[in-house]
Amino acid sequence: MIQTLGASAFSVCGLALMLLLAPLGTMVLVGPLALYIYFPHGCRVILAWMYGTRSIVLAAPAAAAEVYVLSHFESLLPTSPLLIIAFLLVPSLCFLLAALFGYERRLDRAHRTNWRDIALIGAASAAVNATAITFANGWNGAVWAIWFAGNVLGVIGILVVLMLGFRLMRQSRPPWL
Amino acid sequence: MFRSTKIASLRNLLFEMEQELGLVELSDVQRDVYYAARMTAGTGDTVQGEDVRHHPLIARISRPTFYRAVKDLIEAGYISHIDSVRSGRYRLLR
Repeated sequence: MIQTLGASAFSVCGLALMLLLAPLGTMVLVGPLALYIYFPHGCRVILAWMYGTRSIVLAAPAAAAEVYVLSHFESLLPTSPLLIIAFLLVPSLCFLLAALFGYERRLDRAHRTNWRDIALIGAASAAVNATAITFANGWNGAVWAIWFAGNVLGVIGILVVLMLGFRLMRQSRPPWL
Repeated sequence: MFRSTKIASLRNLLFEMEQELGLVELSDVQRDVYYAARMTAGTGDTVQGEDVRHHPLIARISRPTFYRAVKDLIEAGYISHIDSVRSGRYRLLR
């Protein structure tokens, strides 16, 4: 139960963080090409690494919030519930596909995983996500690139945020502990 | 795999990331020397270098490695010499 709540809360935090930093995205690029550091994707990739297909359920509450919140972003392409379901599935499918090709990086099965492995699989799923949303709204290369970049930055961004968070926790303890 | 193991794996992965990005300040040896100094100092903040060197925590560390770690700790601002460099006495700064 705690595990489910924690993982779901993590996804919601990813969405909140994206909303918090959304003005930065609109400063970089404007109009339909605003670049959002898409933290929800980063959260889903990390959950997929940790929990495999169970991450789909764990990230679902945040995804539901995402559908609602993103419908208010004029500079984002409309994301239907169906697309969000696809976004939920893609990271764990990418980990599964990578394993089928001998690149096993899931936490429960891999001997060890490096953060770059997560970033790489996150980038692969970012490409799939960008393709899905761009096709659903009429193909546009520039929009694809922005969605891809936003998703990749979301993965790297969430890794950096977590890294700094854990670092802060470690440093806030007395050094002899 | 227990939840705590998953979190520990995530922390380990991010710690490796921190190391690769050069953000980790102290190596294992430096940290052990610092802990030994801290334990030797007790409630005070000054230690004798030789007392620290014989602490069980760092008994396996050779003399040159110990002094190299001490030098690194001084440069990183964790400890400083008291009086002169040759006094062999250090003050814990953190």
